[in-house]
Amino acid sequence: MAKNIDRVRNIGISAHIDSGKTTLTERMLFYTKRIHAMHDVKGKDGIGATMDSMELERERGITIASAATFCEWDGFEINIIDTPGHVDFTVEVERSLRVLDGAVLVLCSVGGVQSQSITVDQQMKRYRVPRIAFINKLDRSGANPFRVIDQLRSKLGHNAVAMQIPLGLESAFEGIIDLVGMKAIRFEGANGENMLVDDIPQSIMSEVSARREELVEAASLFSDELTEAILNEEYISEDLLLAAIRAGTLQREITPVFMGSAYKNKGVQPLLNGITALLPGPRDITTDALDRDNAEAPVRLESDPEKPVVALAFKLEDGPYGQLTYIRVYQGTLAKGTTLVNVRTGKKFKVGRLVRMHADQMEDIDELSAGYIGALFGIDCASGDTFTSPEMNVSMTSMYVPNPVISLSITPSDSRSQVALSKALNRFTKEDPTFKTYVDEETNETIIEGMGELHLEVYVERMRREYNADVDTGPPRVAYRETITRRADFNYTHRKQTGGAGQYGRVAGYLEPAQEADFEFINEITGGAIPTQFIPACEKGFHECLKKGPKMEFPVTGVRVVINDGQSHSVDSSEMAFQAAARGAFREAYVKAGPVIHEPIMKVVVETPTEFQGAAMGLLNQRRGMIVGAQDEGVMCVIEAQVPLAEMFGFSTVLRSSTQGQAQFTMEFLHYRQVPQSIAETLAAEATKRKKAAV
Amino acid sequence: MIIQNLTTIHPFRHIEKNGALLPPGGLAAVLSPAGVGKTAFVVQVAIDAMIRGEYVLHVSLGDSIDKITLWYGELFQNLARHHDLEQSEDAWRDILLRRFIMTFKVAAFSIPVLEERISDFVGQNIFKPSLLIIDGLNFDNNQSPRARELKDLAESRKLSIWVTGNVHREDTRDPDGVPSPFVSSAPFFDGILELEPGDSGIAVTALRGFTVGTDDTRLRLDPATMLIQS
Repeated sequence: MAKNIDRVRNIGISAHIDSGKTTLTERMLFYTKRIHAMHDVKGKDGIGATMDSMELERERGITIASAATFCEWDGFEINIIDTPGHVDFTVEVERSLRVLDGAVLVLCSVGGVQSQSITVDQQMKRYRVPRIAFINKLDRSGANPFRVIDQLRSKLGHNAVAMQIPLGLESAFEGIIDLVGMKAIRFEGANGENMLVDDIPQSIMSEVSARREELVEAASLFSDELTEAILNEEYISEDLLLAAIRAGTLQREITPVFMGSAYKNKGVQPLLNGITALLPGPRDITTDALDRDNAEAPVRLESDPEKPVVALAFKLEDGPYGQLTYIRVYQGTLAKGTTLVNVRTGKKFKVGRLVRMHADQMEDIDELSAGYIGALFGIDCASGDTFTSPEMNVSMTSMYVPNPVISLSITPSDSRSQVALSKALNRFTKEDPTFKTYVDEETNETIIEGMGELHLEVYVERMRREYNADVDTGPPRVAYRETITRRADFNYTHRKQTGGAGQYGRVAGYLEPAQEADFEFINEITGGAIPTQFIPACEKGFHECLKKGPKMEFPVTGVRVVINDGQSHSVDSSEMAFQAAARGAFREAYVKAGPVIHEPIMKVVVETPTEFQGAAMGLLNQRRGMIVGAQDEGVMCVIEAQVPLAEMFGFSTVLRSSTQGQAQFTMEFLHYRQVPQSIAETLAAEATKRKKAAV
Repeated sequence: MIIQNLTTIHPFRHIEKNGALLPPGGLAAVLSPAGVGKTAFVVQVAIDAMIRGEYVLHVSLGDSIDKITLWYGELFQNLARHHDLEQSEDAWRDILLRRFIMTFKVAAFSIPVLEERISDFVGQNIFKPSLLIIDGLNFDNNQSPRARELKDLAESRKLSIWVTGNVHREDTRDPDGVPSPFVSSAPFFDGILELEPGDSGIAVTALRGFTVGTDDTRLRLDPATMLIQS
């Protein structure tokens, strides 16, 4: 295996759903000779594109899992991480972004920068991923790449500059003009594999010159040599110009824009050249790990294959041969037989089979060095774990994982499905940190929790298809929370004398709201009013009450419990008695502490043609939404609102039907907020009904 | 201090007439060279109105919603800190319900388009503003037809409207001190204020309509916090 780290590119392809990202990936793999036939996402041949390895994705025409695939182009080794395009799977996106050095932002030349592109772009900004853009679908009617470039500037704040301009547009789209090499490129052959390089037609020369001037001017900011050449009116070589653009791209100050039509096999090879020439290699990027021996101080990792190993497991997949763990090596060389430590669990393991993936096929390799992406077989770990050499004790930065906001109950219909279900749940919770599951103690139901309706729906579908689990689901439930709003004192005595050993314990103190923590317990008892050995029992008693609030039975958060007095009995006091006393005390004080219900509020962004603006606002308004603002952009309009999650069920259907299918929306968790009085009463009534039904 | 008291001591009270800064149907402008503090000024007009229970439509030409939200958040926080406001976060959350931001591309904006939008959401009972802020409108080259449209909009919808306008150093002035680009529009305005950077902060002077008070109640903007003080 060649080991020139400067000729490695780990890139992601990230985009709005339906902008043709999977097709583009497919074409890239074809031209790099990794696959020998092309399929389309919703192909008539029923095979589907190679990157969408899951059946479900094929059916819906969307990409859920981020498969890593390897290919070679012009002496460069490229690892492509196919990232999901839907907002409900953002954890998958974010985890993939973590291991990328650079990315291609695919945009549709008709749809332009849509709300989803904005979300994905923000995530890339957060992980500081240098980007180039590819404007796809130039063959479609209504294509206008320059409008998309304007949107890149105005909506995403990129300093976008065209590297190419189209040669013909819509149905007359033939190829592209390369503004760096100043050549016209057409694509011929059954699969567009032959690039015909030609002179630029004189008829468009003036536009080409103007666009090239823009490009050179933008690039000149990053190279003194180039500036000098411009001032002296010297010939500007291709290499000089590319080096300047690359410098700007790496600093994320410039976004070079490529264009073409993946479906029509046009413009893909120049994009591959752009990836190798402009995007960073592993050495151009700095990565920090956290030193666990030194209060998590950051340590700079070096892409040196001789140093101790640091690698990150960023994706798990359940294959026919067991668990496959995708890893990226940040430092050192990982070879077959190397002993590594999983930093989270502290367990040592030996590297067995090591492979490089190409969607569904794999290639065995002997070692994997810094900067490379590959996969391990048979390693027991969770997604996001760090593997290191035994002498190192560092961890890659923990990724931000939001709390789930929605849950539903899931019941297997027979015992065979029961087994399949638990297998599936075990797998999914390992793969996706935002997907959680537990068993409700009272109803004995299995509950799954996640980030949105679609998020859970997809997992339920996967259970049915991949695990053959026949399951029924309950209605989705919002993750409400209870909290208190003021301080309240308690002084509670638990006393029981019913023959045999009695029970006695008294606890006194107060509850108060705690902003920062979910639960805090402070012991201010002096003089042994409660013997020290019973203090943990008190804490346990209070903590147990938080699982279900006495009022509505939602989890209680943001409570500080302070105990400052109490009493015990030399014979009758026991741990059990103090636990019971704590529970009683909590119930006593809780009602006095002004309990309220909080609900998750989502930030909803609706993008709609202007004529439906009023209708869309009406819909948001009916749903207890607070409209923050509306951004008028001529044809389209973007409405930003904050809406309670509880009101958002089924929103996509209603929105589509009242806007003739032309509006779309994205939704992400914003914060928890107190529910209005009227809703709180309805919830309380439901809670009472549930209680009665349970009896 | 609690939030309701804030409005009674606000410096705006010094320049009010009949209990209102600008009556319904009124049109006022804040002028200054670019970057002095027009947006900060009108945002505070809006915050003051929101606290008093009015509904505010903030129209911005060119800026993004996020940027405007930031202006509001920042100025309210400064205000809350300055007056030691109790439970300012809760109060802020409540009064935010009375704000609506609309942004337009400069080229796509016209008063009839705005009026259509307003009647759209007033009709649907989504939002009924009583104060309209328009930030970033171009008044160069004597836009008196535009000023007339604005005055008509204010009167027909019973809105008080505040607009901002850029002045340039080379502008000549009429006897009232109104810069030349505004001279033909001025008759439509009920009040015109100007912001001028000076030694003790940014001074607020009245060119038309308003009386900014005596020396000890004269309004100015604190350049550090951009808060209006007297």
